[in-house]
Amino acid sequence: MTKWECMICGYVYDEDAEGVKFEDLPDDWVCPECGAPKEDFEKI
Amino acid sequence: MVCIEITPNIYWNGLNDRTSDLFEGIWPITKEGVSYNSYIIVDDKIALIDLVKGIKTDDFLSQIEEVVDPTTVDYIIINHMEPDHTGMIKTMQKVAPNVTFVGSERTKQMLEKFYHLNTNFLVVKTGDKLELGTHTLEFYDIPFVHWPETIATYERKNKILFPCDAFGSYGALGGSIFADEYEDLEFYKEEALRYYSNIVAKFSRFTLKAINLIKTLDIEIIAPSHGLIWRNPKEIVDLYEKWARYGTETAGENGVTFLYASMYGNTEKLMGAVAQGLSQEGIPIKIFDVARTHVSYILPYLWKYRGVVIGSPTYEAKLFPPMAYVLDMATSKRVINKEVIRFGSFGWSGGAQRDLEPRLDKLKWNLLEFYEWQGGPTSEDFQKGEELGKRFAKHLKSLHLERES
Repeated sequence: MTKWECMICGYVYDEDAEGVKFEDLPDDWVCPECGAPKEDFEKI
Repeated sequence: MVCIEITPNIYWNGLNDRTSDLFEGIWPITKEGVSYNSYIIVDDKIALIDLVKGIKTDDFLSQIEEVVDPTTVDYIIINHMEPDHTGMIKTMQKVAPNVTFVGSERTKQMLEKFYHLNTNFLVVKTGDKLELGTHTLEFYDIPFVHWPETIATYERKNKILFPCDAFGSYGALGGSIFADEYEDLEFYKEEALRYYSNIVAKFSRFTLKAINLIKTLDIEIIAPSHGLIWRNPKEIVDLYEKWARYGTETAGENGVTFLYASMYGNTEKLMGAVAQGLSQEGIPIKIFDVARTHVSYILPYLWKYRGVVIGSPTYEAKLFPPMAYVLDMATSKRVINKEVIRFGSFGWSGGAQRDLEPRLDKLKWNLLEFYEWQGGPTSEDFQKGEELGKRFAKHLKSLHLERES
């Protein structure tokens, strides 16, 4: 059920839909919409 | 104004707006004004680069007529879709029905959604060129500076970059369109930082990327779509780069944005003591009563200075609402990584601190300490306030020295 939102562009990462927990994404993963790093995401 | 030649056959054709009160419907410009800069290139093909807000239509068309027949415009480059640069789009399409709009794929999509136009559109991406005759335009994607669709246009013959909102500023143009013709640029530099912190700051990472990209181009003139034209482009690029780094690397200069609000003067009384403590340590401070100052004027200081003081009473078991609003706006603008102290009075139960802490977590602001008291401050409270200010100043100074060394 957990979703994470990119604070820069508003893209929402849905853990259920993606099948991977946000925390488990690699450190160099970036927002697919705007390229912002993981640290710019917040749990919503 | 009239059309002004920048280089042979390239003209500024902008509008000064001294009557709108709010930019983007939020940011006050009543006193400062703003300009919307559009440009004309006259060659075998005639191109306009960016348009203007949908105001002063007659002036805009008359200015074009000074150099070309507006019905003969071949291309309109849309660097950025925002309506302060595209408001004249329907008018221009009616005036020049054969015109081709030029922009990114996303601009094409957004143009349809915003204006429901059925029009000729040429999609361009980084590296694409458009020959006008002796002038050639080159296009570069600069996404999220400050919308996703944004591009910059480069005219190679005269080495002019048209970056739209990047390197822009509030402030109507005061006589000259060129920065180098002003004796004193302080007003425009201040307004450029206010504009940066209000409009661009959130996208600082993208701004740095765009700056790195444009550094690969040989640029002699930067002609943005708000504010002055820079024939010494390094001056404005350096400022923008410095500000973009505040948002991504350095967290700002040595100094304190002192935010306070007070219902009946009790928190205000201690504001004086805390500010005195800070001043004794010789640190720059800028004090704002957040209930009486528009956040637009506060953001540039929050952006610039590393330290923040929050002087806020409890209001109905929460943070004083105007203070909460400023922090919400700072969150939205990604004003992150600041050093903070807080003080404030409460009437019966407190609650401001409890309300504040999760907000600070979101902002990634480091709360060093806070001080609260019930009702009116005593002489002991005054002393504690002054000491709090001194300790905070010392902390900031030590961080600053650390960075300098």
